[in-house]
Amino acid sequence: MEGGPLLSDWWVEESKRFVPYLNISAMLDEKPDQGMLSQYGLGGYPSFIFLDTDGVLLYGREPYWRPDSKSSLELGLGEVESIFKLRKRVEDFPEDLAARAHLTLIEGLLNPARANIVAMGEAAKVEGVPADLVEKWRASRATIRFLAVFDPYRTAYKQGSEDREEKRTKAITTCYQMVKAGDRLDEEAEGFRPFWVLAFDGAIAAGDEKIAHICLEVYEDAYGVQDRYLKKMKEKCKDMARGNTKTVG
Amino acid sequence: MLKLKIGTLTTSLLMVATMAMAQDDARMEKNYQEKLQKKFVKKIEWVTTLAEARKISEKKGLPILAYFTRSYSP
Repeated sequence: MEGGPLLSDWWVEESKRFVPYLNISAMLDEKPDQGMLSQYGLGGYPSFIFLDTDGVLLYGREPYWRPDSKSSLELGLGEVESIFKLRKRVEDFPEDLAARAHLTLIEGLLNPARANIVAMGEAAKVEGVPADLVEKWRASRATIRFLAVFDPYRTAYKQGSEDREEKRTKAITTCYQMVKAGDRLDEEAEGFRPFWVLAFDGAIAAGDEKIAHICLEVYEDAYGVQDRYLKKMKEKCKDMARGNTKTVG
Repeated sequence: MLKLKIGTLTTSLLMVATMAMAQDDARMEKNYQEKLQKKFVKKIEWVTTLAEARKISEKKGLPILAYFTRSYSP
């Protein structure tokens, strides 16, 4: 990148449309913004992301993005600019409900962990919101609802936070309730595996044998009888049947 | 006498470790400065702190493109 695309004329020209921020990891504490890569959940070098004025990630983490051609840069920049335009529109014309709804859906889809599921549901009903966006929301509603509880739990677990158990309880309860309500993640959805494991644990905690078995079946179908977690899950089911499992409210 | 020798040895080891760390820091600093001299850095006006990037973003109403790279490894 540094010896090619970042020296090209198109890069120089297009850079007028954004603020270029260079973060150099130097293994020297006194250098600016060290360790920021992991704060954005990025795993390696080089990484490129778009941020908004508050430093919130808008584009580039998933899937991994590299602006190594004009068209690739345009892909990210176009999406990010549309968010900026919508935000400006909503700020200037707060009465424009379609713009507000459009923005709610775009931002929610971009950042599921911070999404307001109820607000997104309402936004999807507003006239004037692009149909493809509403369809995208419908297709990813279950994933968004799951990630909204799973991401905080995963972060708390990684950081060893005191409230990790509280967040886990919220995650298992939500996943369990989703399965109970028929709201499920498909095999190709992001987080399929943890969703079913957590839903299973939620069912066990609630003492719901029926849902626990449904989760177990889905899990076994997807990962097979040799899966390393399956044995433990089956033991938990047996324990529940014997009445050995504590339930949570 | 033995205590004195152990004390001298400990001090020497500490000095060696400190010197090694200083040399390491100097090498890292050199790498960092070399990175800043690369052609791609000179090609456009990069901002090197997020705080500054946010200020400019607010003023101009533009998104921030963050590029994460490293100077301690190729």
